[in-house]
Amino acid sequence: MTPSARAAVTHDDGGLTPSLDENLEVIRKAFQGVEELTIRPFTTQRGREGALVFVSGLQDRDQLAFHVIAPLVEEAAITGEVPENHLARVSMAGTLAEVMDALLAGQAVGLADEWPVAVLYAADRRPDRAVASTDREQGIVGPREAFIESLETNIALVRSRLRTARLKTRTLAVGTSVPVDVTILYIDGRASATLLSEVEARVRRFKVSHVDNVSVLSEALDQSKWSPFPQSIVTERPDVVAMNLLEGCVAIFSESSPCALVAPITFIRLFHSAEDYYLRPALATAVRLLRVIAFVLTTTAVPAYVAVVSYHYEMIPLRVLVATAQNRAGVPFTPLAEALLIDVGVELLREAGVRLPRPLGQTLSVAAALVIGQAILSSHLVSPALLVAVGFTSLASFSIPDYNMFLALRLIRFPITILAGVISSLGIAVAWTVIFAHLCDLEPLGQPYLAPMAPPDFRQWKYEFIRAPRSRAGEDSR
Amino acid sequence: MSNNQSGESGTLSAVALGPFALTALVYVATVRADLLGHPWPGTAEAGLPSLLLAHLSAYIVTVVASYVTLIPYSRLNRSIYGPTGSRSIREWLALASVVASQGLAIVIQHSTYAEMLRTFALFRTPNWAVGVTLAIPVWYIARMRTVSVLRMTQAFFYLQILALPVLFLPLGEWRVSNLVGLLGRPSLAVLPALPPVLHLYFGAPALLLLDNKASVTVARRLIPAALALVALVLVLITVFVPGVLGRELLAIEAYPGMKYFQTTRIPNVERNDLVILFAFANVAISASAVLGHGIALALGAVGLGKEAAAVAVAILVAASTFIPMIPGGSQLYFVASAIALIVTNVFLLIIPKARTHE
Repeated sequence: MTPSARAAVTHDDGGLTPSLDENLEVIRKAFQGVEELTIRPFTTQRGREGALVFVSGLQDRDQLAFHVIAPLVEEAAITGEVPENHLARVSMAGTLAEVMDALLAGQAVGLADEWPVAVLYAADRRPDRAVASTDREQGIVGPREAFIESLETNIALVRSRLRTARLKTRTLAVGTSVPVDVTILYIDGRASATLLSEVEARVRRFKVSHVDNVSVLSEALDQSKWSPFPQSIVTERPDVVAMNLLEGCVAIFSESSPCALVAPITFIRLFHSAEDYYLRPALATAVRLLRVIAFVLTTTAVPAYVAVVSYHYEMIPLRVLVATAQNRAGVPFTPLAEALLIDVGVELLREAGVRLPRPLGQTLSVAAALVIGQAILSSHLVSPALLVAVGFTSLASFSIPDYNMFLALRLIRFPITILAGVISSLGIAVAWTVIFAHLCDLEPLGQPYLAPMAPPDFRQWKYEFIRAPRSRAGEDSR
Repeated sequence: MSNNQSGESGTLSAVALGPFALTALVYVATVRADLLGHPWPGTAEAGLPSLLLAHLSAYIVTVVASYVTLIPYSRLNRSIYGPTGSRSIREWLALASVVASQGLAIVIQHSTYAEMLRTFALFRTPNWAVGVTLAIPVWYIARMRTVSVLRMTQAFFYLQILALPVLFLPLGEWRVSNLVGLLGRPSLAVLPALPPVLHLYFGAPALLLLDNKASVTVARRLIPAALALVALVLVLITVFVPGVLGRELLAIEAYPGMKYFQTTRIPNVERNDLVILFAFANVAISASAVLGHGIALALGAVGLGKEAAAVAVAILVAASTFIPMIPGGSQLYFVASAIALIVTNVFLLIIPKARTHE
């Protein structure tokens, strides 16, 4: 029985009685109002009364018919003597609590009169989808498969990449209201014992009603709950999980969650993409550098525009200054208001594009960008130069591989823009100093967030800042 | 000093204070934004050799103060006042030393930097706005854990070292002839040049007073090397700026450092001195934050509360920006500097030995 099922017991925890009717009555009471509860009475060849109980919809009907019901009728299974060709996994239960949990987990339960033991048939079949390609973390080269909503399948996807007995799992039940199975995956000898025990302790201590998705657990691992910066990676790619496990991280999976949580991570890792390891080192290094430039542009381009146009236009070369002044002629807003207006508009457009059905969302995004953009320009509500800066910034932000980091950067741009509008470039410099200090203060699961930069580990720079050839890295190559 | 600095508040001995961390700490806390506003009085009045000699003297004094222990003060105190009395004296001397030296370094830096901001960029911005903008990050960093502050110094150290080549950009205008008048000045007229140069060396070594355990004692031995890097940068500026500006400009420019950077051209940027000025906000805040963290640790160690100390440091930063606006502020500034010089350099000589004998 799974830990979650065991933890979910809320009814009488007593043992089964020899009376079939009494046992069925307790089950009926517990499942009152659950219309899918099915009780199929049968009589064995020896004349003993029995019943097969299951919650319909969670079983493989063929398995149930041929490998559960048929042996039951022959009474072989009810005594635990299972034929060798029996496909269903069989276990015994002696308490009503175990029976209830098994039913909730989708197993079929065989009960018989004068027999104080139940037989649990794992003929369950969840309505899973097939393993498909990733939507969120796409790449040109490299594997395409992504996790699905099945815990077993997800772990199998990782295990098929890391065929080693050192790949271990620890399963816990998390959730105070409806517990869910959460599995911590790690490679013995790579992940430190301290890290593992810390992760396990934090997940155990985490009090949440229900784990809808594994990303909920990131709160348990985060050092700073209100920091906008992600302190773990949420990925739906098995190859990303496998790579990080090899580097000593742990991965956390939860039932019904199509992604994994990888921790601990560093700031620079959030700019890495799985594709980096499938490209040639020089190309991957260039792409990483481009992402760092994108990071700077995302957070600084618009605030810099606001600061320069509002306060230090003497910094702009004369020809550009004249063009900027002509562009801004007739714009009724201050540069700060103008920037916030267009930035909020872009964020609304992005959010709407995500929420709408895909074909509609794409169409709307393109149409809105063109139509609204053109209308705004024609009405002189914002200057073209700012529109270019915002467009460029948005484009840059989309090159950040990690979605949480992408959102964090878009979010922190707003306070930086406001500071730039209020106190000029001094605001940008101050904001960046605070952000850097905050990053230095972060230490998710005991690992400095800015490692290997601060504290320095110069040997790691060739793997973290650039992508050194794998053959140089030896056994622990990335 | 009491041993209540351990745990979350952090101590220097509790974190890895290796050569790199120590160099970063000393550099970030010592190379400050007031460097841009350094008025070079020594150069104009006493000549370049005097100024270089002043740098050498300041370097030696700072190294000696933070490295060599001369007076067996603790034993003397113990025999006169007993263990409790001597401990109390040590704590308050250390506190006075750290607060005076580092506090004044913060005041000097922020009063100068705020004045430069007002002069070059933020003509109409209210002074309180500049003060608050600079004070908030200092407060935020000063209250962080020591290990985080050390990491921050390392992160900023990379940035500042990467930005160092900017120092060489105006060298196209450097002329030996500009130095001729200055080189001819008597090199022994060092005294006028000494106080402002010593100000530049205020800072990080005093932070080490807060902790005298093994790793910090080892780290203290590396201070001469770490300070040498600081001295190199300061000496380079001292030689470069007069060579580019010449004696006449040096005598009239309020901020020769800013004028120095104005002489160069960066493509597509008209006022590169403003870029430098705003980039120095990072230098100003990080240096003050490190110094402020030292004050917060010192006050926290005698039970005055680290959080409250961080707030006090932030108020000090904000208040510093008003000093140039006070009539006679410059006289006040020099009196305070003189006091701080005495306090720092006398107490720096005393405290390390006192701590060693604890």
